[in-house]
Amino acid sequence: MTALPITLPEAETQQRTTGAHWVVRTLEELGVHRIFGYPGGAIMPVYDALVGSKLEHILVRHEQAASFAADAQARLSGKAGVCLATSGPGATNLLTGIANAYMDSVPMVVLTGQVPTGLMGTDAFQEVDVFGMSLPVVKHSIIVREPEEIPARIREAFAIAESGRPGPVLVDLPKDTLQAEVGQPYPPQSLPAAKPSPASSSEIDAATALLACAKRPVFYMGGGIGLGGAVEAARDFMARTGIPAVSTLKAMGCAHPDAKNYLGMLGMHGTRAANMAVQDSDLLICCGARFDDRATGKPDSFAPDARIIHMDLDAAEIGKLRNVDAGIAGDLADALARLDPGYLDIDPWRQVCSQRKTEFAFRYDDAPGSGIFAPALLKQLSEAAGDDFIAACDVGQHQMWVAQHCRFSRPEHHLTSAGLGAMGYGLPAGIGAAMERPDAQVITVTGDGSIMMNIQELATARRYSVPVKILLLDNSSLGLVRQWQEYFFDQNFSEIDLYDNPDFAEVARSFGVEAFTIHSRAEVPAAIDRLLSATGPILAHCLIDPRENVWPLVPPGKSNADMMED
Amino acid sequence: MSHTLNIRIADREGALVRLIGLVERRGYEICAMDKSAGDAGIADITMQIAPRGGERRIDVLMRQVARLFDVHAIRQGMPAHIAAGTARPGGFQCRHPQ
Ligand SMILES: Cc1ncc(C[n+]2csc(CCOP(=O)(O)OP(=O)(O)O)c2C)c(N)n1
Repeated sequence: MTALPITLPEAETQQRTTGAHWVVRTLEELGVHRIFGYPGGAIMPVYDALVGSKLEHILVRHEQAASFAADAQARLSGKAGVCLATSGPGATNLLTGIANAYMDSVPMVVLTGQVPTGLMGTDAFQEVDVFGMSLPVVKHSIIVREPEEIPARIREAFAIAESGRPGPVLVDLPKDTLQAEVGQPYPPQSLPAAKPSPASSSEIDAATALLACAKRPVFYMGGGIGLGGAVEAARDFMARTGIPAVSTLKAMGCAHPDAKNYLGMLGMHGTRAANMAVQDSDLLICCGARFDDRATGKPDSFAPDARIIHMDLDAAEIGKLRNVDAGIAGDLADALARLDPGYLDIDPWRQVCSQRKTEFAFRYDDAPGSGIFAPALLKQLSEAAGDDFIAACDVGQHQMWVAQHCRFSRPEHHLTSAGLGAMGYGLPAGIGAAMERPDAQVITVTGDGSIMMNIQELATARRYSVPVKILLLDNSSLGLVRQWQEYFFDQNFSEIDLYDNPDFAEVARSFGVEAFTIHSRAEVPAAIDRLLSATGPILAHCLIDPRENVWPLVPPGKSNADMMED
Repeated sequence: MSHTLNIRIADREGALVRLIGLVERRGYEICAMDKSAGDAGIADITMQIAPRGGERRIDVLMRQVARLFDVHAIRQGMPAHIAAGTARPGGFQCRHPQ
């Protein structure tokens, strides 16, 4: 980080080595190049040590954004993202991002300042028990009470965050630990983390036997495939076996969008072809997915006739929500490669599935009027941007439209708050992604509700000239909630009307971010051009019809067989 | 139906509360519990637990406990000193044994 050009009185040159210096040194040693944070009292020693370090510190404007940006960076790099905040309110502001990383198994190391150890437990100024508050949403957490332990504990945090099933690890750093002088030489680096262990042969054999006699198998892909480096193995498995495949929201991009026998997303807003295949299947090969209720609908009517093979790196997932006929715990790439049933006599089944895929494909040509039809806009945008574009979504109808109508070549290119469903993710995640992949087209797709949850981050985008493109689909309402009120609450519309939104283009410009507004379908092609050719940051504000809904839809509590259509 | 779990943990800050929190959050009531700290920062925990509300799979809970970093080992069953009713001081009994 470079110091801001503020002239200070000749400071005494820092000769002491403190715990805070070791925090910075350990991060450097571990190959961290960028951290997202916000300073404050208890963490100030670390900010002091950052000056002159090799780390690039990104000053966000709300700690939640630091956690989301670090999350996006981690999803793209596969390495733990790092965020940093002070004690008390700084730490509590990080909690949503920690929970988000936990729900989506994202490797993250969260560094929080804490009041000095002597004051811990006394309700000191800006003391909150962030260790206690975050317990349910961390993979692990550590309070470091001895400055000499800092390198070992931070290395441990990275190893835990990145190994096995990834997740967030919190390191709480009391101020006295950070300020104390360390009385030892810096300890040598520890050994690299162990590789995930392979599944046992008996598990693979049991699954292979089930596969060999299946007539209507479906390959159910989850986020674990991308996280476990098993994308190639999954594609190879699909190509080798020709088993019809579906994916969860998090696994979009595991299959190539044009892959044969690939039926798209399953679940609440999944494709008809995917849901019908799963419902009719006699064998479900669940790979790195966890039978989440948004994917399964009513659990006891989900794939009612199917036997289950459940493969997961995390043994604790197997059998959690659905009893399995064969469980495979271990490295997914390895397990998929070893799962080889030979020739499968399932041609009639493949045909049924692909016929439905054609019959129920999304249509874009029947939207009435001349207004902007968001699904078509997203399809055009995705095609213009190319299959390697990266989307950072917020939460709502627009998020589901992205999953339905955009093409992804890799799962990590679809950044979405899947497990937590946290509005406010999109803009900071887009910033984190565009910093990590400055040469990629990174597009934040957001709604008029969601963008207001972290709109202050336009300042961050501007400050660092982040090449993020923001597509704001403005329906003047909390669209997804409105849709549910329309269909499941007797059109009793309650607190979803955002008629008095600010002029978003004006807002963006006041942050120094280029922006424009479009209203009609005819303006879409030029808008896409402008968005994609800008060096960014840029915001395209698109006014869409507030009555537009996401289809198809499985009503809450219903079976995936009961999909509603417009 | 209640179960008895034997869990060996690293006896460090937060390990016990993390363990108890997980068991409670995953839908179990802790009916009785005993902790005995041994040597070298290791402690043995015995818990008698029962699912709250609907039935849950104990093997899933055991794998969720096992993946905690502070947990060294877990098994089902009751160690001798508890079975004999001579739980060491430090244990507690809750008021609603199942
Ligand atoms: C932090 C947070 N608060 C509330 C919700 C509940 N919620 C889900 S979607 C939604 C509406 C989102 O509105 P908008 O961002 O405008 O997107 P749209 O559905 O209109 O596309 C709300 C309120 C949530 N997911 N996250």
